[in-house]
Amino acid sequence: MSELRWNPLLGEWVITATHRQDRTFLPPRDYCPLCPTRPGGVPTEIGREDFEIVSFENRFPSLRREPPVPAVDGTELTPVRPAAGVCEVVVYTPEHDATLAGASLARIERLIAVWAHRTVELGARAEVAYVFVFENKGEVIGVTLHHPHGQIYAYPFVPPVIGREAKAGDDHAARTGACLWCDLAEQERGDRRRVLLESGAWLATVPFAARWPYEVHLQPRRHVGWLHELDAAERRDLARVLRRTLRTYDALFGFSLPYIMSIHQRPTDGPGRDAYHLHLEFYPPHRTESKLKYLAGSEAGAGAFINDTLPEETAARLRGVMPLDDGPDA
Amino acid sequence: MTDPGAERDDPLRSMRAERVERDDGRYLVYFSWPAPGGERHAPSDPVSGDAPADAGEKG
Repeated sequence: MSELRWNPLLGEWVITATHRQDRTFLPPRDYCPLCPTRPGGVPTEIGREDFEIVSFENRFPSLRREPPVPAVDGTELTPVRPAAGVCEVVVYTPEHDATLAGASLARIERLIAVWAHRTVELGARAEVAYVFVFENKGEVIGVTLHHPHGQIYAYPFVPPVIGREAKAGDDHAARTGACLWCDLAEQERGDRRRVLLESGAWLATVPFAARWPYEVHLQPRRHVGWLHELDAAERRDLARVLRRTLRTYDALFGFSLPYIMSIHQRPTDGPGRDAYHLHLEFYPPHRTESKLKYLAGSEAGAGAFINDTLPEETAARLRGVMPLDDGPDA
Repeated sequence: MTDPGAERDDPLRSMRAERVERDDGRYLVYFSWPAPGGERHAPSDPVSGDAPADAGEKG
């Protein structure tokens, strides 16, 4: 069963997807569904012996190109819609034990190209209003497969967080004539305390009002809305900044740090979204080496985040463990 | 902007995207790139490597 149910109290859609209860959960590595299919081995999701990067429709999708009829009838107060859309899995590499932080810059550049490609193709579908590229890394995030991969959800609506950001960007542009993200970046460059690194084309910061202890945002200097609007040099620079951010995370506590990577691109629901500025957000759940940040009463019940750390201090700590830049071709 | 790798290929333009349909109706898209100095692959339709100017436009 899968459908969209409208929550009129919060003004947002909830996706029901009961079939996802049966999805593969932390299988032994010999049964990893994201590894290539080896001769004589167990068939996996990827029916080839080798590949570079592959994207495929999720076996347990929340959204489908041909969604089932909703299991319940909606009302005027609580409408129901088919769960139309697409859910893809993007497998970064055939190597089961690799990580994005350990990948070559060439592979990360190619992955960025794949994200851009999928955004353009899925965003062009009539039913798709937003293409969300993301990665959940680590069992504490709820990852069910260890093989390096991310996901893409092509939603038939603009998700709530993106909608709030877009409205904030529109309101700021209407009030000042300027881009909200560009103005925030200028403020951070002037202040410096929350800046992690600045490259020719990208800025990495702990945001002023970070929700998570070691939250980091990356944004391009140039005002673009989608990854495919970046030029080749900007995408190459993103690969460097992204990898250096992940290596900084791994140096923070001495282990491969779990995180959620959330790529915020402009909605694809039509024109009039020019104020929205592309950016990437990272939310590691760790607040210390051994303690996690949970979304508890205030966050889950009231929507008000409480951050146990100061962004100025976490930025300084991250800068302190940041590895040296290893050059453009490493 | 300084671009020390400007002589290299642009992975978005040089990628080859091969779409394969499964028996169960789902699809895969295999992405590959020419080896350095090797033959360039033309982007394949309908999964084109050439991005339109505006992803918000509906075809």
